Amino acid sequence: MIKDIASINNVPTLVTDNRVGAAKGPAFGEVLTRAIEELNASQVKADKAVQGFLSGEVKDVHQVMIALEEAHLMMQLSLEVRNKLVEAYQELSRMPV
Amino acid sequence: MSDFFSGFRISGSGMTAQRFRLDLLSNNIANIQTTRTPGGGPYQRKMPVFTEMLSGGVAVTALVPDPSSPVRVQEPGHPDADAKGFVAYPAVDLGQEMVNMIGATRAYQANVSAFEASKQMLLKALELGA
Repeated sequence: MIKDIASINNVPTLVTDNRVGAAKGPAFGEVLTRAIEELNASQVKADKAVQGFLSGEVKDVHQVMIALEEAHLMMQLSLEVRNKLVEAYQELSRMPV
Repeated sequence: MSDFFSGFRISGSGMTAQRFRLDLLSNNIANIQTTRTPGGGPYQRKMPVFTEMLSGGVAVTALVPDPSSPVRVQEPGHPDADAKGFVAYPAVDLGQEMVNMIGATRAYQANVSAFEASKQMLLKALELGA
């Protein structure tokens, strides 16, 4: 019996080893930051395309529209990811403790 | 993320190519009676040469002048008439240019349709699990 109780002391180390942060690959925060950076880059690119068109640097209307469309889709994708995250968070917060 | 939007890039290159083609056709039509060029002689009809890009899409790689000989018209009063009174006009066939113009317009529309299709696909993918 005493021997079994003693094994409880090992629990913290087990927990530490199984933490999300210990998993291989980039951390969740990094992935999120990169995704947001990409979203921002696409928005900046679309903005530059519009400015380039207005100042006469970009000659093709469709290149501007493609940049805008890319930015729009990136935004849409980010919104979907955000919705999923908020959903997961709410799911956790509803969990009875 | 470049693969995510590669369809957009490819369709965009097609649109750029067709727009360039239309520019050339317009130039051919505008110069249908041009008898003087910087290189001398009458205007020569220009044709674009399209090349497939390794990363997908198309690029205009060359401008080839039409080698067909100019149309000779008897017009003695013209300043560019030769000793026999013949003026060399560009060998531009208006009907042919018009047909090519329709082709360029339709090809541009086809690229827009391909773009729309890949966009709809992406939007549908975002609806997954919603």
